[in-house]
Amino acid sequence: MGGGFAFGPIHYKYPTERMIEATELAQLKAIVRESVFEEDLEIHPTDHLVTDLGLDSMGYVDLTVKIELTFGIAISDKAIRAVATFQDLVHLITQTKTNG
Amino acid sequence: MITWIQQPAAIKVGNDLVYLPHFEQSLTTPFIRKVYTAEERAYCDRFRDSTLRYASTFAAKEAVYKAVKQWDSSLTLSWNKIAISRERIAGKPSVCLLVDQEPPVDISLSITHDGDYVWAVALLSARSTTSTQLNA
Repeated sequence: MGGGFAFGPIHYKYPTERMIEATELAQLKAIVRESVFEEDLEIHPTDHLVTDLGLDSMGYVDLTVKIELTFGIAISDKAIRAVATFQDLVHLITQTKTNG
Repeated sequence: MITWIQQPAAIKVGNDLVYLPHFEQSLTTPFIRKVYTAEERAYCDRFRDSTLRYASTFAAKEAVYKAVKQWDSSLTLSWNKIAISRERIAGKPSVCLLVDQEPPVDISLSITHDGDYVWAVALLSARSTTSTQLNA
Protein backbone atom coordinates (compact mmCIF):
# COMPACT_ATOMS: atom_id res chain seq x y z
CA MET A 1 0.00 0.00 0.00
CA GLY A 2 1.00 3.53 -0.12
CA GLY A 3 1.07 6.35 -2.51
CA GLY A 4 -2.02 8.00 -1.03
CA PHE A 5 -2.30 11.46 0.46
CA ALA A 6 -1.69 11.87 4.11
CA PHE A 7 -4.44 13.89 5.69
CA GLY A 8 -4.13 15.46 9.07
CA PRO A 9 -2.69 18.54 10.68
CA ILE A 10 -0.25 20.53 8.66
CA HIS A 11 3.22 20.16 10.02
CA TYR A 12 5.07 23.41 9.85
CA LYS A 13 8.78 23.55 9.63
CA TYR A 14 9.12 26.13 12.38
CA PRO A 15 6.85 27.03 15.29
CA THR A 16 7.01 30.67 14.17
CA GLU A 17 4.86 29.90 11.17
CA ARG A 18 2.06 28.64 13.36
CA MET A 19 1.88 31.90 15.29
CA ILE A 20 1.03 34.13 12.37
CA GLU A 21 -0.90 33.96 9.10
CA ALA A 22 1.19 33.26 6.02
CA THR A 23 0.31 36.62 4.48
CA GLU A 24 1.27 38.44 7.64
CA LEU A 25 4.50 36.49 7.83
CA ALA A 26 5.29 37.53 4.26
CA GLN A 27 4.44 41.15 5.11
CA LEU A 28 6.69 41.03 8.15
CA LYS A 29 9.60 39.59 6.21
CA ALA A 30 9.14 42.33 3.60
CA ILE A 31 9.23 44.96 6.34
CA VAL A 32 12.43 43.53 7.81
CA ARG A 33 14.02 43.47 4.35
CA GLU A 34 13.07 47.14 3.87
CA SER A 35 14.46 48.07 7.27
CA VAL A 36 17.83 46.50 6.53
CA PHE A 37 17.84 47.67 2.90
CA GLU A 38 18.32 44.12 1.57
CA GLU A 39 15.47 43.18 -0.73
CA ASP A 40 16.68 39.62 -1.40
CA LEU A 41 17.53 38.77 2.18
CA GLU A 42 16.65 35.25 3.31
CA ILE A 43 15.07 35.27 6.73
CA HIS A 44 14.87 32.32 9.10
CA PRO A 45 13.06 32.24 12.44
CA THR A 46 16.19 31.95 14.53
CA ASP A 47 18.03 34.71 12.70
CA HIS A 48 19.24 37.44 15.03
CA LEU A 49 17.96 40.80 13.84
CA VAL A 50 21.28 42.55 14.43
CA THR A 51 23.99 39.96 13.94
CA ASP A 52 22.37 37.86 11.19
CA LEU A 53 20.07 40.29 9.41
CA GLY A 54 22.07 43.49 9.86
CA LEU A 55 19.48 45.63 11.60
CA ASP A 56 20.96 48.78 13.15
CA SER A 57 19.62 51.26 15.68
CA MET A 58 17.85 53.30 13.02
CA GLY A 59 16.48 50.09 11.55
CA TYR A 60 14.84 49.26 14.87
CA VAL A 61 12.83 52.49 14.73
CA ASP A 62 12.02 52.01 11.05
CA LEU A 63 10.92 48.44 11.73
CA THR A 64 8.74 49.51 14.65
CA VAL A 65 7.03 52.27 12.70
CA LYS A 66 6.31 50.01 9.73
CA ILE A 67 5.00 47.16 11.91
CA GLU A 68 2.71 49.58 13.74
CA LEU A 69 1.31 50.93 10.49
CA THR A 70 0.96 47.54 8.80
CA PHE A 71 -0.52 45.57 11.68
CA GLY A 72 -2.37 48.40 13.41
CA ILE A 73 -0.69 47.88 16.75
CA ALA A 74 1.43 49.99 19.09
CA ILE A 75 4.80 48.67 20.15
CA SER A 76 6.72 50.22 23.00
CA ASP A 77 10.37 51.12 22.63
CA LYS A 78 11.15 48.82 25.53
CA ALA A 79 9.45 45.88 23.85
CA ILE A 80 11.16 46.30 20.48
CA ARG A 81 14.54 46.78 22.16
CA ALA A 82 14.06 43.39 23.84
CA VAL A 83 13.54 41.59 20.53
CA ALA A 84 16.54 39.53 19.49
CA THR A 85 15.48 37.09 16.78
CA PHE A 86 12.93 37.14 13.98
CA GLN A 87 10.96 34.56 15.94
CA ASP A 88 10.89 36.93 18.92
CA LEU A 89 9.53 39.62 16.63
CA VAL A 90 6.71 37.36 15.45
CA HIS A 91 5.99 36.51 19.06
CA LEU A 92 5.88 40.19 20.03
CA ILE A 93 3.41 40.96 17.26
CA THR A 94 1.09 38.06 18.08
CA GLN A 95 1.24 38.91 21.79
CA THR A 96 0.52 42.57 21.12
CA LYS A 97 -2.35 41.73 18.79
CA THR A 98 -3.85 39.42 21.38
CA ASN A 99 -3.31 41.51 24.48
CA GLY A 100 -3.43 44.96 22.95
CA MET B 1 42.63 69.44 58.34
CA ILE B 2 40.09 67.30 56.56
CA THR B 3 40.64 66.15 53.01
CA TRP B 4 37.85 64.66 50.96
CA ILE B 5 38.83 62.23 48.30
CA GLN B 6 36.19 61.50 45.72
CA GLN B 7 35.80 57.88 44.70
CA PRO B 8 36.68 57.38 41.04
CA ALA B 9 33.59 57.90 38.93
CA ALA B 10 32.32 55.16 36.67
CA ILE B 11 32.91 56.17 33.07
CA LYS B 12 30.80 54.62 30.33
CA VAL B 13 30.80 55.33 26.64
CA GLY B 14 28.25 54.96 23.88
CA ASN B 15 28.44 55.81 20.20
CA ASP B 16 26.35 55.57 17.06
CA LEU B 17 27.01 55.85 13.37
CA VAL B 18 24.24 56.84 10.96
CA TYR B 19 24.43 56.31 7.21
CA LEU B 20 22.61 59.28 5.72
CA PRO B 21 21.26 57.75 2.48
CA HIS B 22 19.47 55.04 4.50
CA PHE B 23 18.40 57.47 7.19
CA GLU B 24 16.81 59.71 4.60
CA GLN B 25 14.64 56.82 3.41
CA SER B 26 13.54 55.97 6.93
CA LEU B 27 12.77 59.51 8.00
CA THR B 28 8.99 59.51 7.72
CA THR B 29 6.45 61.43 9.74
CA PRO B 30 5.67 58.44 12.02
CA PHE B 31 9.42 57.94 12.53
CA ILE B 32 9.82 61.59 13.52
CA ARG B 33 6.81 61.44 15.81
CA LYS B 34 8.15 58.35 17.58
CA VAL B 35 11.72 59.52 18.08
CA TYR B 36 11.89 63.29 18.47
CA THR B 37 10.60 65.77 21.02
CA ALA B 38 8.75 68.89 19.87
CA GLU B 39 11.83 71.00 20.64
CA GLU B 40 14.10 68.72 18.62
CA ARG B 41 11.71 68.84 15.67
CA ALA B 42 11.60 72.62 15.84
CA TYR B 43 15.40 72.75 15.91
CA CYS B 44 15.95 70.35 13.02
CA ASP B 45 13.26 71.96 10.86
CA ARG B 46 15.02 75.33 11.06
CA PHE B 47 17.69 74.03 8.70
CA ARG B 48 17.54 73.58 4.96
CA ASP B 49 19.40 70.28 5.43
CA SER B 50 17.03 69.11 8.13
CA THR B 51 17.78 65.44 7.39
CA LEU B 52 21.36 65.93 8.57
CA ARG B 53 20.09 67.54 11.78
CA TYR B 54 17.60 64.76 12.38
CA ALA B 55 20.34 62.20 11.74
CA SER B 56 22.81 63.84 14.10
CA THR B 57 20.16 64.12 16.78
CA PHE B 58 19.29 60.47 16.29
CA ALA B 59 22.92 59.40 16.52
CA ALA B 60 23.28 61.42 19.73
CA LYS B 61 20.18 59.80 21.25
CA GLU B 62 21.42 56.33 20.41
CA ALA B 63 24.90 57.07 21.76
CA VAL B 64 23.36 58.26 25.01
CA TYR B 65 21.12 55.19 25.15
CA LYS B 66 24.13 52.89 24.78
CA ALA B 67 26.14 54.71 27.43
CA VAL B 68 23.23 54.63 29.87
CA LYS B 69 22.68 50.92 29.21
CA GLN B 70 26.32 50.27 29.98
CA TRP B 71 25.91 52.06 33.27
CA ASP B 72 22.64 50.38 34.22
CA SER B 73 21.41 47.63 31.93
CA SER B 74 18.00 47.58 33.62
CA LEU B 75 17.21 51.14 32.50
CA THR B 76 15.27 51.38 29.27
CA LEU B 77 14.81 54.80 27.79
CA SER B 78 12.40 55.56 24.99
CA TRP B 79 13.86 57.47 22.08
CA ASN B 80 11.75 60.53 22.83
CA LYS B 81 12.80 60.51 26.49
CA ILE B 82 16.38 61.31 25.51
CA ALA B 83 16.19 64.98 24.63
CA ILE B 84 19.07 66.51 22.72
CA SER B 85 19.50 70.26 22.68
CA ARG B 86 22.11 72.76 21.52
CA GLU B 87 23.25 75.82 23.40
CA ARG B 88 22.86 77.77 20.17
CA ILE B 89 22.44 77.03 16.46
CA ALA B 90 24.95 74.31 15.57
CA GLY B 91 26.39 74.76 19.05
CA LYS B 92 27.50 72.36 21.74
CA PRO B 93 25.01 69.54 22.18
CA SER B 94 23.68 68.46 25.53
CA VAL B 95 21.23 65.87 26.73
CA CYS B 96 18.39 65.80 29.20
CA LEU B 97 16.82 62.51 30.23
CA LEU B 98 13.08 63.01 30.51
CA VAL B 99 12.47 60.51 33.27
CA ASP B 100 10.75 60.73 36.66
CA GLN B 101 13.94 60.29 38.62
CA GLU B 102 16.97 61.61 36.85
CA PRO B 103 19.89 59.21 37.27
CA PRO B 104 22.99 60.62 39.03
CA VAL B 105 25.07 60.86 35.89
CA ASP B 106 26.68 63.54 33.79
CA ILE B 107 26.72 62.96 30.06
CA SER B 108 28.98 64.71 27.61
CA LEU B 109 28.16 64.55 23.93
CA SER B 110 30.04 65.06 20.70
CA ILE B 111 28.59 64.84 17.20
CA THR B 112 30.37 64.98 13.88
CA HIS B 113 29.58 64.32 10.24
CA ASP B 114 31.49 63.80 7.05
CA GLY B 115 30.07 62.86 3.69
CA ASP B 116 27.38 60.22 4.09
CA TYR B 117 28.02 59.52 7.76
CA VAL B 118 27.09 61.08 11.07
CA TRP B 119 28.77 59.90 14.25
CA ALA B 120 27.99 60.69 17.85
CA VAL B 121 29.78 59.78 21.05
CA ALA B 122 28.37 60.02 24.56
CA LEU B 123 30.57 59.87 27.62
CA LEU B 124 28.74 59.14 30.84
CA SER B 125 30.26 59.69 34.25
CA ALA B 126 28.35 58.54 37.27
CA ARG B 127 28.33 61.02 40.10
CA SER B 128 30.03 59.50 43.08
CA THR B 129 27.61 58.87 45.92
CA THR B 130 30.28 58.05 48.46
CA SER B 131 33.32 59.99 49.53
CA THR B 132 36.18 59.03 51.70
CA GLN B 133 37.13 61.31 54.55
CA LEU B 134 40.78 61.50 55.51
CA ASN B 135 41.92 63.17 58.66
CA ALA B 136 45.22 64.73 57.86
